[in-house]
Amino acid sequence: MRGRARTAIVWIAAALLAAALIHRFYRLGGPYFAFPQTVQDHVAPAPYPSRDVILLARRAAEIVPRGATVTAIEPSQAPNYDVTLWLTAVGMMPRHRVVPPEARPQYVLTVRTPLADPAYRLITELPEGRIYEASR
Amino acid sequence: MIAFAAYLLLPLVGLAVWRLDAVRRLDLPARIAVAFAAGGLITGAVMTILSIVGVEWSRTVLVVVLAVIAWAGWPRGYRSSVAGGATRNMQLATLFFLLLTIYGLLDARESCGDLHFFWGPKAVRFFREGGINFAGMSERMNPGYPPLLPLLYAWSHTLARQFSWFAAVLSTALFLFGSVAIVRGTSRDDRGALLMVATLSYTFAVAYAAGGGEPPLIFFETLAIAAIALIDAPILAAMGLAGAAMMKIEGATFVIAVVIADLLIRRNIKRTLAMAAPAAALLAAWLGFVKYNGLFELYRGAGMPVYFAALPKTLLTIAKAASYDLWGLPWVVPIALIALGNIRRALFPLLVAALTFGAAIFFYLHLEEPTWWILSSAPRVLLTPLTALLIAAVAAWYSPAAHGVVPEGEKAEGSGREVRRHSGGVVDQVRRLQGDRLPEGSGAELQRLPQVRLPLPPLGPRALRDPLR
Repeated sequence: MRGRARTAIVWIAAALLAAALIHRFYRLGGPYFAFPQTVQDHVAPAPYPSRDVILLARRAAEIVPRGATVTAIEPSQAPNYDVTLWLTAVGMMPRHRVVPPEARPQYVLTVRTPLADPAYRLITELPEGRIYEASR
Repeated sequence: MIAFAAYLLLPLVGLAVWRLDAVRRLDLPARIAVAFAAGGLITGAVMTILSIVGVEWSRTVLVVVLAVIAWAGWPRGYRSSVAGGATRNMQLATLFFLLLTIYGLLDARESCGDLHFFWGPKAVRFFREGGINFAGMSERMNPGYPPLLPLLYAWSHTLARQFSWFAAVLSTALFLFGSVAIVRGTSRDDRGALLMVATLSYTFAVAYAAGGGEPPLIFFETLAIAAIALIDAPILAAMGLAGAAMMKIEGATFVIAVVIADLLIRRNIKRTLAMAAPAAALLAAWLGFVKYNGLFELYRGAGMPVYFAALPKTLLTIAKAASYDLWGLPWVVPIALIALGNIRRALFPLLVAALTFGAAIFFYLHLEEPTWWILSSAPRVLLTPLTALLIAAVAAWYSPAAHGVVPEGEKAEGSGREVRRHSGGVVDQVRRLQGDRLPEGSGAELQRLPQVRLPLPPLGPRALRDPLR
C-alpha cells in the first residue's frame, strides 16, 4: 500500500515538475526554436546588459588593438558601475587587458546608453553598443 | 563540438575505477558516471602537476599524458557482476527530462551568470597562460576559489583551441544526469531516480545553475552521499569528497558535514578520517597555495562577524528562495517519502541535508543586509541540502538485502548469508532456505515469486519484508 502511495507521489511530482519547467521556459519568452547568440539570451524575458557586453566585446576584440587596456560599462550606472560587465569582457577579449572602469583604460565599451565623458571620443557605434577611445 | 567532446572523453581517462568491486556492481550508466568523476579528478590533477613542474599545457602534452593514464588503468578482462537496468517507463521519463534540460541549456534559458563573470574568464586565462596563473588577476574573479572547474573548462579549451561557452553550459547535462545515474545505479530504485531527475532538472533551471560551479559540485556530492548511504563504498566516497572540496568553497562545508554525520551515525573514526583524508589533503594544499601567493582567503568568511539581528529576515528570504517558485514542492515530496519510508535508513543523508542547510543560514548571517545575496545565490547553494534530501528519500526505501553484496563488517539481515556474498535476491534466499541448490547470484527474477513454495521458514517474513517494499 505504501509502495503504491510512493509510486503515485513520485509520478505526480514528476509530472508537476515537468509542467512547471515547460511553463518556465515559455515564460522566459521567444524565440523558442532559434539558436541563441549568447549563453545569456533567454535567462530573463528582457535581455540583461551582460548579454549586450558579450556581443559587443566579441566585435570589439576585432577592432581594438591587441594589448590595449579596455573596460565595459553601462554609463547610466555611474559612478557605481556593475562589475560583472567588465568581468564578462575579460573572457571575451583574452588578447586585451580588460581592467575596471576606475583604471581609466584606453578603450571603453558601453552598452545601452552613450558615454558623456570628454576624455573619450566615440570611434564606432554598433547595434550592440559603442566603442570609445581615450582622447590624446 | 570538440569542446564538448572533451568532457565526453573524461570517463575514458577515469576508467581505472571500473576495477573497484563497488563499481563492478553498478549498472552501466552509473559506472560511466563514476568513471566521469574519476576522469575529471585525474585530469584536474594532471593539469595541476604540469603547472607545478613548469610544463606548459598543450593539446599534445595533455592528450599523451592522459592517454597513458587511461591505457595503464584500462580494466582488461573486465566483467561486470551486475545485470538489470532501469524499466522502460523510467528510461522514457529520464529521456523526457534529458531532452527538456538540453533544450533549456542550448536555448540559453538556464545559464549561470558566474560562468561569464569568472569561471569562464578564469579558464580562458589558464589556457592562454598554459597553466595555473593568478598573477595580476582581479580579486573580483575570486582567485581564491578552488580550481577544479576552471581546470576542466581549460581542458576543453585546450582540446578545442577555443573556449566554447555553450559546451560549458551543456556540460551541466552530464553532471546532472551523471548524478541521477549514480543514485539509480547504487539504489536500483527507479522511482527514487525519477524523483531526482525531475527535481534536479527543474531546480537547476530555476537556480540558473548551468555552467556554474553547482552542477559538478552536486555531482561529486551525490557520489559521496550515495557511496556512503547506499553501497558503503569508502573509496568512492573519498573521490566524491575530494571532488566537492576542489570544486567550490561550499564543498569544504559539505566535507565537514559528511564527516560529522558519518561520525555520529557510524561511530567509526578511523573509517571516516580515511574517507575524508584525500579531500582534507587537497584542501590543505590549496589553502597553502592561496596563502603563499597572497590570494584572498575566502575560507576565512566563517570568522567574520555574525548579525543575529538579521536572523528573521535571513530565514524569511531563504524560505522564499527555497520555494523554487513552486511552493517548495522540491522539498515537500522527498520529506513526504522519507516520512512514509524508514527514517532510520535515511539518517545519514538527512543529517547531511540538515547540516548543509544550517551552514547556508550561518553564512548568510554574515551580512547585515543579506537579502540580495540570498536571493541571487541561495537557489544554487541550497541545491546541496536538497540533493542530500532526495538521496535520503531514496535511502528511506532502500533495501540492501535486495541490492546485492553485504557491506564488509555487516550482517546480512535475516538471510543468513555471508558477508561480501551475493544475496541473489529475495527469491533466491527463500529457495535456498527451502533447500534448492542455487549458484551464487543466480539472478532469479522477481516474476518467479509466485512459483516459490510456501510456507516460509521462521526468518522468511523478515527477509522478505524489506526487499519487497
